[in-house]
Amino acid sequence: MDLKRVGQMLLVTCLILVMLAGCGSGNSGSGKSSSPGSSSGGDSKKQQSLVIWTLQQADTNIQEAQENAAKSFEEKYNAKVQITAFPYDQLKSKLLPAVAGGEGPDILLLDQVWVAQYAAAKYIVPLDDYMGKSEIKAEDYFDGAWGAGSFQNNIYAIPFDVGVWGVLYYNKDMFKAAGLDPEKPPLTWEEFLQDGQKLTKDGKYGASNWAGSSESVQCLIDAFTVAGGGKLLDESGKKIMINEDPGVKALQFWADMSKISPPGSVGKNEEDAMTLFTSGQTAMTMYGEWGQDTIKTRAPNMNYGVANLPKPAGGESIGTFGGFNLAINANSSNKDLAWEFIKYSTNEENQKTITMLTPANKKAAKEYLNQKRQFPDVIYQQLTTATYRPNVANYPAIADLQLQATQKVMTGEMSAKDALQEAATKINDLLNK
Amino acid sequence: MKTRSTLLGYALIAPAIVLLLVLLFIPLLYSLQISFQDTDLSHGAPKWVGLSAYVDSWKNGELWKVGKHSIVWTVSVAFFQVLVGLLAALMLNRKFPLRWLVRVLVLLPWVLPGVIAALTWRLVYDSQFGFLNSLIAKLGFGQHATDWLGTPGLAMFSVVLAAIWKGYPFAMLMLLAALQSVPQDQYEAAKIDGADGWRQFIHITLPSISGVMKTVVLLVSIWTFNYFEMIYVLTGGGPVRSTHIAPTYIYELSFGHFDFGEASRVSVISFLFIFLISLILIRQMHKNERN
Repeated sequence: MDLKRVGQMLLVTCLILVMLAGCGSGNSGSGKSSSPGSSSGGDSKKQQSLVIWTLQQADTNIQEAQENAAKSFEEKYNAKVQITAFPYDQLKSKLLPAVAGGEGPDILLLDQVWVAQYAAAKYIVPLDDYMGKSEIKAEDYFDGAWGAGSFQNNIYAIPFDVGVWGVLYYNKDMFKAAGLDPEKPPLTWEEFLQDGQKLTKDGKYGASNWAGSSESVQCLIDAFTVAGGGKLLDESGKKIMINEDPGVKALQFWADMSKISPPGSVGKNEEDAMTLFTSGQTAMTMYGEWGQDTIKTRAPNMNYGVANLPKPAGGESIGTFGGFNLAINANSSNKDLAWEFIKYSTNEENQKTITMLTPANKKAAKEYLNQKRQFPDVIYQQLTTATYRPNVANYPAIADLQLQATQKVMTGEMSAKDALQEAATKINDLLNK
Repeated sequence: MKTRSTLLGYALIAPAIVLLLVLLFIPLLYSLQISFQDTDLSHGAPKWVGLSAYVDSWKNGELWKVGKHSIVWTVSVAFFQVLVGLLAALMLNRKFPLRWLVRVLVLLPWVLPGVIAALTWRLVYDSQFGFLNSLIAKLGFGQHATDWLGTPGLAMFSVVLAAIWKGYPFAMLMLLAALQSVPQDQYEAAKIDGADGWRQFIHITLPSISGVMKTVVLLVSIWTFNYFEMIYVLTGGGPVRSTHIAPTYIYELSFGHFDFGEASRVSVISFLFIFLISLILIRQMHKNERN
């Protein structure tokens, strides 16, 4: 009797243990990144290892190039490199909790707008000391991408690849049909709106603005603000300046685009605007330089041109950077090796093959654009002058307030001046919290 | 003998309890713990701030707005889902040719994957090519390009309409089952006593299905309160935050702004809210059973 009971208890205990073990191994599966990094610290004379979290590649060529680059790095430094790739949304939602929990990869691939947040929380280390000891120079990279990797006068993340919001795509056939010169895309805001008026007829429209829940619209309005001679933030990073004259004019220009846009553009986003363009409903659209791939697949026969973003009277044509930078986890036990890897993956040679967007290294970018894009000079020019979004820690909340202001103006609820004033007050509260 | 079998009983349910603890209670308590912290990373690593964090989140007017939207959303969607479901159930309870086919077709919105349904409604509401605007034009109310999802005053109405369409078949299915269990002899007796259709409905049908109806109301209210994908896909909470409800707001705070503290606070508040409503409704249901 007793034996039977013991047997039953044992069975149950085993069951529980098996379950717990199951949970345990599940955990270590997701957190596997940290263990090799931290364990190898003890026996560093042997092989060091690096863990890198990056974005999943749709293009297998890039993936292959990344793997090959990692392999030759392993041979050169007698190290083990483990690359884990995520889709963007997962990288975004997994990286921060992992790093905040003292784990995560040695090297982080950060969207430019995340850098300030990680830097403020001290989850990544300043790279100025490493910089001083190496041949990496800010001039080798696009200015704006470099700026986006800095926070409070320190550099925290080295630019890996970049994209610019945006360039102007225009349909040459529709230009001809409207009596416009297809080789003369509009240069200024005024020309853009005038040409747009001429193109708006017979159920077709000049362009389409948007203000749906996406950040691209803020990239463009930020760009127009800087193009008009304005600034986004003051030097201290504690005061937003979008409510000054250039910002108001920029937002007003975006809202004025409604005159040449199909009705109901407030709820749309950049993809909707691109779809309108590729389906021939609008004659112009603003989009990142990678939009060429979209046009190639959706409207392969379209006769289109790419031009710089229109500029305000007396201003410049300026875009806003997007893209990714590489940073080192503050908890990494192999920071020196991580730095070597960052140098390695941002040098000219490697950049040509392993980036998913345009390389951040200027020399590599030039070659990359010549090879892969039409109108490479236009894009290169747009990248050289592009600005970057405010590098403050609570940028996402700030971008959201900006977006609300844009929506208020486009729905006619408020004037650009009032809406931006209201937004600026709230943003300044956030910046000084 | 008795103690032994009780012990064995406990041992056998232990895995279930461990599972519940690990998957439910620990995350719940962890959320509560985070909700007392300031996790805005702009001033460094998370800090313990206690209850004052809650006071701050109410002071920032956003939570009031989200709460108001949540209530409008839940009440109107749940009410109309049950109402339309009831009407549909009454109709389908009658005999007519091809009834089985209609019963199957009516279920379609409910069995459609949520995101696909929402994307379809995006097309319906499109200002330029949308079905709704062209329908209004065909009915003779004139050409126009109403931006159903981009106009702050209309957006809430639009998402509510889509949500009612998506969810009413569930209420219909449950109520139809309840209707079929109402004994026919009661109707015959009522007819002999001279009661008309309306009186039969009020005095026989409604009381007979009220138990099921309360369960349906409870379930539908909770589901609607937590219904995320329709609003997320259709408006993302916009325009000008006019359609943000608790789940979309929590999503934006946690995975948009990475402010897990504030997100946890909103989660805790909405948990308490749902808990309270459930308590009231469950009490009602018990009262009903006792009578």
